[in-house]
Amino acid sequence: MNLEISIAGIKLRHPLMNASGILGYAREHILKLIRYGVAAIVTKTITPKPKRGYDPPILIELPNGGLINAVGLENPGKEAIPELVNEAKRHYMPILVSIGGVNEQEFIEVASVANDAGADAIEINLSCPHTKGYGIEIGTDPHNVYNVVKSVASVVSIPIIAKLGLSDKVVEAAGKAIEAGAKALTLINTIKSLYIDVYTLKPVLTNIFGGLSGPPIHPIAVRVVYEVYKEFQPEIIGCGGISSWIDAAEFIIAGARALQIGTALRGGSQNVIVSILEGLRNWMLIHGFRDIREAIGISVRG
Amino acid sequence: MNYMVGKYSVRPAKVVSNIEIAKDIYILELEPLHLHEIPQPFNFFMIWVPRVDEIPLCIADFDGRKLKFLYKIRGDGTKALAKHYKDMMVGIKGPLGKGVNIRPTLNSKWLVIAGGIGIAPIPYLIKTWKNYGINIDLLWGVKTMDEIFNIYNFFPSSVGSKIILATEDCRYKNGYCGTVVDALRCIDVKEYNGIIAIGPNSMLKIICLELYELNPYIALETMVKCGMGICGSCYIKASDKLLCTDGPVFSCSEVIEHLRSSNINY
Repeated sequence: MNLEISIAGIKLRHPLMNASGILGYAREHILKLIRYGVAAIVTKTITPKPKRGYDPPILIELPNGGLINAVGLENPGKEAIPELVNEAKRHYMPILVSIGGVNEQEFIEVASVANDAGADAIEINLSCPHTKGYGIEIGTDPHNVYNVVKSVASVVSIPIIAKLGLSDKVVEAAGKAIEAGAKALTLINTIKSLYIDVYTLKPVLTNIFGGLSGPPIHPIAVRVVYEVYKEFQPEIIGCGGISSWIDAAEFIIAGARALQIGTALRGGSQNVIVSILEGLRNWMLIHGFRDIREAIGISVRG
Repeated sequence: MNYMVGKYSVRPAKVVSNIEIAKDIYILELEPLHLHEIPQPFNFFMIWVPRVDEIPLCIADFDGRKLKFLYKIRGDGTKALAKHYKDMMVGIKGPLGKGVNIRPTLNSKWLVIAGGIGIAPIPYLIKTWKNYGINIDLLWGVKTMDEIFNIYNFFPSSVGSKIILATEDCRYKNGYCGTVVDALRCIDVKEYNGIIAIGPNSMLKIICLELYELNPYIALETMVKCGMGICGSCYIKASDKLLCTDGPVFSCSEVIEHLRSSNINY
């Protein structure tokens, strides 16, 4: 059975990578992610200048099994990109550099560094829900999405992947991203949310609002992938609440070629990726798929 | 009350007591409404001080129901925590970390070296290991005598362990005059089956370098933000390890590069 896949022209030995924001801003993080068994590394979102992020609490597990986070795009700034790329290359591991900014110029600035450092692709974070000015404000407007992707595409030679968040216009925004030159789409980001502690009567996160991830958002992400695939059949990286092979398989039949895992990696669990891959292989056997590509979007076509 | 949530959730805990037992050093007793699992020595909790901070604290004692923590006033978070009185609520996330993942042999003798507030997890270690028949001698060094409190009084299960004190201001007359490392040099470490050290990185660096062939264990302290291996703040330099999911206890050989690169002098 073949689990190899290519996304935006990058060859992957299997479809699973980490979601941006899971470690990914230090050499040591790259080593840890490789240990988890990912087929590619996605860095933390890198901004032009270092960002300190919020003070704790920044990340809380919810009673419903989700996670809420407001890390505040903590990152060492664009100067750290070459070191991250080199570390991944030392291990023959494809690396996608996630980039963030408050305007086109900032996106271009970081993208150029990633391009020159030899990253395999750029993932444009157009959807961070908790850091003012850095994401969802841009990503919900299809016109802005077009402009940011277009301007980054004009300065880099490596493939661009646009990461979009949930919005009423996400299908339209997806179309605009492709039109502007995105080779693939990552769908979706965390969803703006709030968690209040009923014992102390106070919001828990320092930033008050955060991004919801994990199992509660999985059906929403599957819906977005399905709709976007149905409309444009682009290359899609499914992201949102994958914790078992079933969640992964569902994304694939909705139209995703590759997948990102975030919340399920909490606690440093070493066998999450391995067990999802094993489950996918068994599932392919049941259906007689010899190649994972046979399953992509099959529920949409049927 | 049924409160089924994971260990990375913030769970309510009531303050039972919170008293200053030495200069700027407090002992906090909490009663969680729901405990996720039995904590191990060197497990830590993130203590949420609502709307102020979330502070990582190693467990100092556990009686099956109540958790005790030792902490030192360091910043706004601990300052705010110190103002919490009986029956006030805080949140706790944990137990976090691997705890002490060492399997000592029965009836062995260990030396524990603590610097300053590094003493925090030691009473619970002594209590837990005592049940396995392991004998701990404790060497505890502080800068000034007013940081010292009577461990036997506050943690009665420590009685029976030998405690050796060192003060840098030399005001404590029944102990060593000097740093914990100075005192350590006067001790025959080879008579112990194992060594665990906890304290500032500067101290741990010297201990790891001087006793490297014995490969002691050390408990590191670095910035912890999320506590669940996602944010990456607590990565150990030149390794694939994170303090919050792989530590805080490591062997010197695992973290020597981290300590070397900390750029510290003693």
